[in-house]
Amino acid sequence: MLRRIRRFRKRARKYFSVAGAAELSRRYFVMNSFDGALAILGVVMGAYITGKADAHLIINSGLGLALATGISGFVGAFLSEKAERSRKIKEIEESIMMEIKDSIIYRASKFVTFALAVVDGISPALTIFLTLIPFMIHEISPSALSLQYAMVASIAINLSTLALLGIYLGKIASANRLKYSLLTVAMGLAIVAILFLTGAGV
Amino acid sequence: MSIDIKKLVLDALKPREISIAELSKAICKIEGVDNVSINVVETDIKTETIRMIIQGNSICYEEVAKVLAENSTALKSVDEIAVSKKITPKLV
Repeated sequence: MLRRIRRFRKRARKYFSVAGAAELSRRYFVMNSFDGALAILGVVMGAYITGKADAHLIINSGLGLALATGISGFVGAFLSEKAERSRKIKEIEESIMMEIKDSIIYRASKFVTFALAVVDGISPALTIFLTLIPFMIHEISPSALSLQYAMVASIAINLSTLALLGIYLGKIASANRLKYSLLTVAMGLAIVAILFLTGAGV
Repeated sequence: MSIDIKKLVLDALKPREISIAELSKAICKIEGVDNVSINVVETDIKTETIRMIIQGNSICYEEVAKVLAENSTALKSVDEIAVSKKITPKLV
């Protein structure tokens, strides 16, 4: 089993290298995780400023959001990648004047299309799910975590996720990780502030 | 008696996505191949023309062609070939 996983990882790495998709997968991951994190932050804050926050409602809205962004991310990335990569395959076939249906480029292209779609679908759903964990704990045992604390914990998890994404971005860019993480957290805080300000007027 | 291919010099066209390191390793994995050297002769936007020198004690040409196709490399011509004959003495 372990050998099979190792073999799969080796093959996946080779396919990603042939298809030049490592950079793209990182970009998809950060972009969509960021999207998911900010979207769920909007849902949580939106519920909070109504003053009638309900954990059950937040969880259901959040899971609905995770499902919708997950499916939309998967399908969107799959279709766009498939179209782009089919075009590239045709271009390669024309340039070397040979069909490459049985070649490594073709297999890598098919594998990477699916893998990128999975990254695109899972990344926002993952950040949304992480933010919802405190509400789930509250639903299971309200005495263990009150709704107020669940709300604070949820926002803290969300901002931490944003900070981690920033650190990851800084690592990719080989730049100041703190600067990147402060930037992503500032985006989250800006959403919180805007929702507070606009919500106060409602 | 057996006739074996000892050396092949091939001219081929490959997409730039395929690295010569990977390609040479893939050819070297073929049974009967001992040495592979690849030179990039010409570089285009999407493709590279390469010259391959394959040496070994018994090179299977069909297998080389298969590995090239597997690596999206189009064989343009066989520029040089060296074969040798080996006579196994019969025991009376």
